[in-house]
Amino acid sequence: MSYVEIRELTKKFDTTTVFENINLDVDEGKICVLVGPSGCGKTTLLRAVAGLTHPDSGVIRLDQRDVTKVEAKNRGVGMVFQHYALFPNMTVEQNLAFGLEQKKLPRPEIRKKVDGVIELMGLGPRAKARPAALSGGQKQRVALARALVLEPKLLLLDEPLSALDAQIRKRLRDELKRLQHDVGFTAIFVTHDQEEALMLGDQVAIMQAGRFVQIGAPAEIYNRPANLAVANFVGDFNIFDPATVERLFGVAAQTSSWAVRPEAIDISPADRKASANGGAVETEVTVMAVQILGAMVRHYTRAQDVMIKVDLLNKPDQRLFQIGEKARISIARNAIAEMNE
Amino acid sequence: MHERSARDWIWVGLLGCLQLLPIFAIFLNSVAVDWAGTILPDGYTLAHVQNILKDPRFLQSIQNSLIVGFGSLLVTPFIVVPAILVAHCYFPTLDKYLAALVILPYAVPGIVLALGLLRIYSGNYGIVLNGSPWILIFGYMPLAAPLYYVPIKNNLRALRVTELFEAGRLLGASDALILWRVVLPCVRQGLIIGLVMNFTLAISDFVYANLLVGGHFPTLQIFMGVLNGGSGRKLSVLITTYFVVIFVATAIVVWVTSRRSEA
Ligand SMILES: Nc1ncnc2c1ncn2[C@@H]1O[C@H](COP(=O)(O)OP(=O)(O)O)[C@@H](O)[C@H]1O
Ligand SMILES: [Mg+2]
Repeated sequence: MSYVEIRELTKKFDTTTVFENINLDVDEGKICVLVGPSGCGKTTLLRAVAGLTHPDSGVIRLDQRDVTKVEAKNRGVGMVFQHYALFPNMTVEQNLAFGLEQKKLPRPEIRKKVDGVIELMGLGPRAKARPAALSGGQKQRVALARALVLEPKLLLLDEPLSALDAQIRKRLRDELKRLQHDVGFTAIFVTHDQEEALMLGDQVAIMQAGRFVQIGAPAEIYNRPANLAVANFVGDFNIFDPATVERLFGVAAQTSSWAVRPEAIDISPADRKASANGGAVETEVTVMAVQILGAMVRHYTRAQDVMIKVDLLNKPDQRLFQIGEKARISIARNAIAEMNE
Repeated sequence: MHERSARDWIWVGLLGCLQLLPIFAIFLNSVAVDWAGTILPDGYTLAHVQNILKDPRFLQSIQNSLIVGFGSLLVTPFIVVPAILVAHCYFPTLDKYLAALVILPYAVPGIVLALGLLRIYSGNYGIVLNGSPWILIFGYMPLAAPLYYVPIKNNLRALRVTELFEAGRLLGASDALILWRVVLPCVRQGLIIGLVMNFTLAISDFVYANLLVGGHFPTLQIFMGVLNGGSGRKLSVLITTYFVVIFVATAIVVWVTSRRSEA
């Protein structure tokens, strides 16, 4: 039995069905990342788990307890909102103490817990500040602290980092990972950023139009996307339909498309002899454009009329290809993900 | 934030002086012996002040004005402010009608509103407030509504109330508690503006006071109307008094309101 169990959950608004009979399991102390395009029902699912909206049917169990009909405040669920939802009239400390006060804890205990979480989140210097005086990253840290201080059984985060700029986002993401390691909370984290999903998630659930198309470990999602949509989400795969496969690589009688990651393709000068790797497929290409992406150098190449993206690691001694140069690419068989749709 | 330089202060000071000048001139006139053809009065006397202080109508009118002013503050915000908050938080679709409704009293001519109020409060609907200060207190309510609505609404727009309620619910707080502990303090500034303007409206209105209660309940403004055309000095004393009353009352409202939300 999992720590969080969502069973056959259905939610409709009037005539539109947001999701129908969906299932999800999250283990204790793990982060499950929910990803999917905007409008696919991530927020609604999170709100159903939080008790902010009522599902039409299905069951939500948390730590062996059926909480489907339990009021939000009695579920032991904490939530971090995209726009922080801090109380603007209260200082950081007062925001953090608010939930504990509602639990009618004794003053000294509240003090102790608030001080503890302020320390944990490094908010000490801003403890007396009001939200308006905080940066976006600090606000989100306070929001996280406000949820964590109640020691929730489950933490829900709805795109908590998407309102922040890239650098802060990265730092907070790393911090969240460290925090999860130290505190050991269980969380469902919604994002539409694939890097965030793969880095934070112990488990990644890909949602599309109200259903999960793939649930798995990040490596599994990354290497073996279940369908083209997942492939497109987790990175810009090169997709070859069966006809193209036959035309470029001479492999016939295919029924499924091939998806190949840009960094899984080897590129070598055209005059180099074909690789001895028996399983690999090869074709001739022309380099059309070269783009430095940071750690990677992307080559846009063309084979007949098909664009193929090839990434090389940006090492000092890496031989980069010139625009217009002829080259040969080769793809190992185990780098090919076959998929339908 | 932008640092204020000495030059900014000079500008603010100059503008302030300019605005205070007429009030100061009226004050000078109220203590002048004779003032004609010179920049400053020929001499100063408190005779007019003493004179008017002896007039029982004067003290009575100040008392009446204060009753109407504070009476209005004791009634109006308790009806208008909850309506604004509830409409904003729970009935956003109806809120746009409220926005229109609230300015309606300013769109109809004063006489129409006054006659309507007289009809309502003269027993036709079982409520008789005629000739009592109550008709003014309730009559000013629709006029004061936009004075609360506009500034409070401005504060509310900067809040995500639904999210605050939801955050509150997950922390174990009812919507009512969030309204009281979070939303209300966040609209404090708008509320103060509303209270001050409500009070000023009630104290300085002549049109409705004259039409609705007239001589039955002479307020400061009505008494000024009576004196108008008589001694200019006496009127100056009245106007100076009026400004002092407004100033003190405003200070009290601001002080009380800001103190309560600090707690
Ligand atoms: N309160 C609501 N009333 C009606 N439809 C809603 C409501 N909330 C969400 N929806 C609809 O449900 C779908 C999923 O929304 P949401 O869960 O917010 O998606 P996501 O968070 O993945 O972007 C959308 O089509 C949205 O229009
Ligand atoms: Mg969403």
